[in-house]
Amino acid sequence: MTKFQFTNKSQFSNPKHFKLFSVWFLVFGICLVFGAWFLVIPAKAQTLSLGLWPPILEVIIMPGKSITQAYTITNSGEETIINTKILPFEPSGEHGNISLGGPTSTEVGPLQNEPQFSFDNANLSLGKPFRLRSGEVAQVILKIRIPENCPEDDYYDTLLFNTPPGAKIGQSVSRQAGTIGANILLTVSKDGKPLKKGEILEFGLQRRLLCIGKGVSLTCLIDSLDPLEFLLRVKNTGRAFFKPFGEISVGGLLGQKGEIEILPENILSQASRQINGQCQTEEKIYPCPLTWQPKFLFGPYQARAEIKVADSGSAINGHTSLNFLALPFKLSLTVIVAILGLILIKNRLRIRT
Amino acid sequence: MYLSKGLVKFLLVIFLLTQFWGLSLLFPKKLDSANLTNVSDSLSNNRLSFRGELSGAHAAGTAVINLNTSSSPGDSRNTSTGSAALMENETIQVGANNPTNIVRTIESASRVVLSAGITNAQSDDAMVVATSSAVHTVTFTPVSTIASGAFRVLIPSSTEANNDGYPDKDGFDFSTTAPTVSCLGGGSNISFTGVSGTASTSAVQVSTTWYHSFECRYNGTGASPAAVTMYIGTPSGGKLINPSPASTTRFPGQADSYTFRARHAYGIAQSYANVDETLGTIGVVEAVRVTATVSPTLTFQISGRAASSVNCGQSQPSTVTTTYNTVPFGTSVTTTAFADAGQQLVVSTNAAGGYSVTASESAQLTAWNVTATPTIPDATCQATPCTTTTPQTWTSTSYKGFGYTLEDVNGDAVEDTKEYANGYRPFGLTAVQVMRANPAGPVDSDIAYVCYRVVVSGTQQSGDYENYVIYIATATF
Repeated sequence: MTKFQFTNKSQFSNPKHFKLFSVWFLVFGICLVFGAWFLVIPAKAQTLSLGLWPPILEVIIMPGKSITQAYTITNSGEETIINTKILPFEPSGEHGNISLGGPTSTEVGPLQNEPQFSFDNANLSLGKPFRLRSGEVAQVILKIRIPENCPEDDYYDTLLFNTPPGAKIGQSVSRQAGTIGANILLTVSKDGKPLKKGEILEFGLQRRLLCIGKGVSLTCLIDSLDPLEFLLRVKNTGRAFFKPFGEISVGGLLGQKGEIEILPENILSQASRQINGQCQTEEKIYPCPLTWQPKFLFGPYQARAEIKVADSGSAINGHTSLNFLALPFKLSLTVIVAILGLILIKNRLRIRT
Repeated sequence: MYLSKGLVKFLLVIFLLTQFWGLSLLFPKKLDSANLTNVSDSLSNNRLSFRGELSGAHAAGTAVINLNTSSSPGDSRNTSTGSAALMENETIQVGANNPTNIVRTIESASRVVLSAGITNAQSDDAMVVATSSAVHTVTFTPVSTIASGAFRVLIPSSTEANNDGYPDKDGFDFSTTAPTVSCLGGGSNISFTGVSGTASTSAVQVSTTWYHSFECRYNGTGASPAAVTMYIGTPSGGKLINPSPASTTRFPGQADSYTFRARHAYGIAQSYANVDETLGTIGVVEAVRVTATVSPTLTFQISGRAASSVNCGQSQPSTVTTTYNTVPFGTSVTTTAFADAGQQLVVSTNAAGGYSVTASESAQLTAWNVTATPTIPDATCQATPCTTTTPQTWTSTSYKGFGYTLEDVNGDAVEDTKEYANGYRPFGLTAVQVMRANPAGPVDSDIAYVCYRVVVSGTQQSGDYENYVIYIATATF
């Protein structure tokens, strides 16, 4: 019977035993190393990673009423302290971006007749920090109360979840604070039918060679080979945000027809927005340029923007039509250059002969 | 055991009667008429059609319609109440004199947004129709041997306007295009080759009920008949229109049932007189609108960059490792060389309009323990204008200050004109955009590096300078 004696090498009774022991020891060692490798808890890189749902809330509410909305904030990074506040925002640009009041802004809701925000959680208060552990998901119940005397209007705010900047470390340092925010679009209306109306500020072509005239008599010249991309800007002239819907229809004198459906995106009260087209896959609807891509454009065309306000169905007027003439300038130029080249070559050959 | 004579006689009579009954089972009498077996009618779409009505008059051009939710409609044929049985993106017709439209959004139990305004004005109680049509696949197994006979299927129809293309509450509408009828099977002694099926609207009356009739005639002896399948309608051609709810009290998921008849008839010599008949049931169900909403979410991540990593084309000093909330320049800040360090920003959202990340600073880099020149100024680059929104080239250390630039790593989150190839810019007290979804819409892991740069003048007093930069990620509205 093979027997291991764990003594000095010289004390192994048989060299084969020593060899066998060495192999076992090696295998054991390898297993130990691999086991330890697999058992090591992967180190998580220091990261701030916050998730927020829902990132946008749209509400129409009567004065004297209140609603609650649950927000879920997920911390997939390091444990952190979260502070909350609500700041008013204004639209920035014409693509749906916001401009917060900035660091010096005061929190909204100080006026008695404006929407009041608070948390309905037993253990959380708006403006007071709370700890969010790594991997923790917290639910914040936001209560929005509209005072009886709140003026009928739109109120645009952002609920912000801030993390504090890094600590001072006794050297020159730029510290960073990450914030994630959820926009709140609030329409206060007594009858639920606030005035929603809009106006087309601009209806034109992104790529054109020349445009003459103004308004309804605007006529543009484009190249037949250029893509036909429209520029459509709509202003909300009413008292409440709305989504426009409708289409741009294009018709040519030679019977060409096309339609471009627009994407219903929010236009805030007294603000304007550049309208996108609506593209769709099986999975999602997403914005895309207002492009019509026939095989070849030729001759005079007229485009009409037929847009309405989603809730009321009232038409959005303004510069709703556009005339343009498509001619093959580039193609003609290419042909002329080619002909001239051929004539030149022919003449050269004639001179040689 | 003793049995009385009377009892024995009685048992004998019972025994004999049992034997005769048993013999009768062995030689059954052949019937002239029998039931077809395995009868069924499968609908390619068993949803009830929608036929409701407007609540109030609607002007031409209106794209938002209000539906009557009353259980007592103005027109008793309009039995669909409210919008519960409608589906978004389905074809709808508002009034008989309007072209078809599309349901864009169902806003409430009564309000529906269409994709386009209605062409012609409609009065109160005008019908609103969304038809559900189906190919009927009727199967049955004949039992009788009938030479050159016919199979006929009768589908219940309404007693009025049963082929106008609008759904009826008491039967299937024939549609304005007659459904094509075809038959298969029947076994080797039944041949449908060269014989086309026929469809006749409301052609047969049984008792008080009218039926559309669909017929396949066949050639052959008809012996040993096998299962037959009759197709009424084709996916791309004419189809029967499913009924609208039988009454206004239907709720989603509730079915209305209709009885159809499958018949096996003699041939032309006997004027296609009926021989066998079996009744079946068709269930048509009120639509159940199932909606699945994928909630939009927004995630924002900031993480540090390792020492010696390359960000925006510049190597981070080997002594500087950044974290998600600190960029410790430490002693790498000098008067003759740029100190470059970076961080990584990651944004994901499935919000329809995308997202935006802005950045602002609390103040210039400031040292609180020095008296003279306590701030490192914001970058002025080496060309003008070098503003919070316009980057400029900054390759000479003669131009002092603290600024940043950006690099697209994944996606197209950074505007081309703001990328590091176009230079650096200072942070400002007012937030400016540093990342956005391009094209606007949902994004999965847009990644960008923010690359900070600082160089100081020779007169900058020694000390620990600091500020903080605030990044705010929001979904676009």
